[in-house]
Amino acid sequence: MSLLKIDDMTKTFGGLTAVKNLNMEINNHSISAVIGPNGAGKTTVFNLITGVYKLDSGDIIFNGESIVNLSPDEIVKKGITRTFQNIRLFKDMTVLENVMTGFHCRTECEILDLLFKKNKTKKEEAEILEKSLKLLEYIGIYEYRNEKSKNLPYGHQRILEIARALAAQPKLLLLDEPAAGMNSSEKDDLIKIIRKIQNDYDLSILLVEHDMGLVMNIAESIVVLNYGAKIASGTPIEVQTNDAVIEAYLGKGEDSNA
Amino acid sequence: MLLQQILNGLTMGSIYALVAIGVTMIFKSMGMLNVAHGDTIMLSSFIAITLIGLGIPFYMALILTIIAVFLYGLFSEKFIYRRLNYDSFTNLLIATIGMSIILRNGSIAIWGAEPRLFPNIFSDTPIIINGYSILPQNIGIILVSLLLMGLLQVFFYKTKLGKSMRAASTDPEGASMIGINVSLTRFLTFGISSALGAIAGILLAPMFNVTPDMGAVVVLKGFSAAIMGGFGNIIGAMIGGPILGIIEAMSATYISSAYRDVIAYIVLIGVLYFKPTGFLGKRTDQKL
Amino acid sequence: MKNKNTINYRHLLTISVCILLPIVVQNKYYLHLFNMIGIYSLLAIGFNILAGYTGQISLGQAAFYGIGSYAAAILHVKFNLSIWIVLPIAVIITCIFGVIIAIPALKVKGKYLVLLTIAFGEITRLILLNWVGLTKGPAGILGIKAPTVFGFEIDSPMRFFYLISGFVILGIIIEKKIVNSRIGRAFIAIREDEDAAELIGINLKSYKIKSFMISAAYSAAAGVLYAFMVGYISPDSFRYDESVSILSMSIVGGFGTIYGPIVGSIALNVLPEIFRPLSEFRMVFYGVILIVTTMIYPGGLLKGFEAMLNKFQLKRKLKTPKNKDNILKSNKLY
Repeated sequence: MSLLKIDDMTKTFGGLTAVKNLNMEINNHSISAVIGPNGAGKTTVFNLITGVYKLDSGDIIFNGESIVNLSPDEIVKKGITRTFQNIRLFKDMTVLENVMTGFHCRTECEILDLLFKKNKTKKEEAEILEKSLKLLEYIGIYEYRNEKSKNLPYGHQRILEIARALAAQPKLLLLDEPAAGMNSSEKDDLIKIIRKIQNDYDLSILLVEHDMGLVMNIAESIVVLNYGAKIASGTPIEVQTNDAVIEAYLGKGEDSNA
Repeated sequence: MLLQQILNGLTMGSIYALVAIGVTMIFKSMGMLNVAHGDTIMLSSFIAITLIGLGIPFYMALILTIIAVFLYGLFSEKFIYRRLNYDSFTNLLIATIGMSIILRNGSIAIWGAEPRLFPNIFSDTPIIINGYSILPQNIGIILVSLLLMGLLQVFFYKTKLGKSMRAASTDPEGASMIGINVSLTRFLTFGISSALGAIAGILLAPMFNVTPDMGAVVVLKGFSAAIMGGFGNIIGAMIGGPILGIIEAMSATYISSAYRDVIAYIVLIGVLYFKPTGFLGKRTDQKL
Repeated sequence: MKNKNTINYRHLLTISVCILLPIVVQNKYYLHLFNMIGIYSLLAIGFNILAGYTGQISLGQAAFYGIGSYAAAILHVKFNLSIWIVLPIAVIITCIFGVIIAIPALKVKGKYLVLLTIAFGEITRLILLNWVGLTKGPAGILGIKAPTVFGFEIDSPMRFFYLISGFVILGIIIEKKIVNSRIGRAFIAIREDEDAAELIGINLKSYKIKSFMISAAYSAAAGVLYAFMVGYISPDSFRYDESVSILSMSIVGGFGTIYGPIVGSIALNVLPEIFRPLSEFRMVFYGVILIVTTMIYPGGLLKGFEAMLNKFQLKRKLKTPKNKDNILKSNKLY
């Protein structure tokens, strides 16, 4: 029983085929990864899942329902959220406000409530505040809560992005190169956090990563892309010893992050 | 009759094109909307009249005006806009608004609000072709405009300086890395843009009275023309001008002259809605 | 524990000033100036919510100002309806126009949006000018009678001052509520990074439209007050120049802050008066000050005085407990 099923998905941009007939499945409560050399189409896959791009052909089925015609915010409400390769926090907001914004789609007070239903509004705001603080505490950046997010150290900014994505209560959390730019102690923290999240929350995680050490450490199943097509999939061991994978990486120049 | 309308449309359109090129250059180069451009146009007309009034020969006065306004453009870039580092759209907008207020009110203070007449640049006698009566002014403006556009094309595509300016516009960082002095290109962009405004002002002035307010509407038309042609490139501005001019002329004749401007603006909104330039469908969140 | 609803010394000060000012300053010219400051404050708040918080920069606010004003004036003069009836109707009508302009605006960003709103502003002005049957064209609408509040006829600048102050205070209270709410966060998110906002679950279309509507509502209220205050309106009061002034006030006062619009409105209305001795050149100096302010205080005057603000707690800031253990047990979080 799969959480997310990608069916024969293709996406071209002008003459370039970014993703070609991709088939993939993600199960409940799992941690999976998509890897591949630069330009293999990994981020495009994320953009297709989250509704940023429209598929040229194929389907994406989430929890039994096709999501290809939904807008990005509708897809979030269905239960898929993400982080970004180049961090996209709301820079002028504080850490706390960023997370509170994450709760937006799970709350409902509108202008009329604001003006005429004071108690309902107050109660909802208090809930958002409390949940946000708890989430910050859980993920370990509570002490920065009133800092402007742009002032945070880089590694903490990445963690904050994850917290914000968690606030939206996803069933599937997409992490786009969460370890990019981190030093090794930050990466260790990241691994701990990802494991903790996967343990405590009822969700699946799908990563795009270049750091092989991290991927092999956390992921239960891996899909390898090259030139937009899947060339291998399986457990970390299977993928590491797969000839096509080795050739793809060696052919392009070995990735130095492992 | 139709031909006359088209001709009028092309005439005004040529002026709109010059204005549009002026604002597009600055928009492309510094990302700013120079709302003071219209007042640059107005300033030029006043300077020209003043010089003529001082007894300076007509064509000399025009050339001096263009030079003076070119210098003004350089001056305002170096001492005002550069100070703002081109990093905040809203601050630049306020600065140009401030400039506009200074120019407009300064003109009222110096020259008064009374409309003034500007002598014809081209001869008064109509040319008769095939029974149609054409004013030399119409042909003159269109030709001057085409000539200028041609010169600009040559400058931007064939000369080293012009090519550097284009490069700096498109990618300031990249350009500076290959040794282009981006600051200088911006400096010159402002100068050239202002000079174009001066020429537009000189062409415009004989047709309408010279008043401190005269730049206000024409700069909006210039922006509209720039957008219709596809805001952000010079060629677009060159095409957009005549398009706008003809649409206006047609609306004035066949729909209503009072609502002529409304039609033009509605077309503008339509263009923005159906073909919002530049970011059509392209998401920028994942770039490797 | 400070609660938004308790009256503290800051509120007391403001209210005292509002009550005492027209008594201390009897000069009708100055009172009229303060009234215009009030009206511009409402306009600037409206602009600030749309542009400062949601990032949709508009140079067409004069259109909403004009539509609200004309709607109220026409209904009042034609059907002899009181201000209290025409006000909500005018606000609703203007909000509808807010939605109308929001629709093309959804697709358009940054500088193109500015041009779109300029076009909208001009179209509105031209229609007000030319649809003589409805608006009486350039002649304008005369004979707007003084409104009554609880039996008091508002027929002097002093009385208008109280009426307008009431609206401004209400306007600020509502602005604060919006900015500090889920809606405010959505607006700011859109301003900061609209693609990321969408990818965290915010429906861009819906919130941009809401932002335009709120902006329209504030502008309409200002327009209605203006119409009843001067008793006569014409398309001349709603030109592009007005949109420029409104934008300037909001940005110079403090873009994206709650009180910035008020500060800007005061500053940019008082400034021409201070320069009055310079007669024809006063507006030139105004322009110079505008440019200089933008160089010295890029974030606006209010942000420039941020240190002083911290003392008076005017910054938008949530109070949260320092001791972590409390948050897990405590229910009281403000």
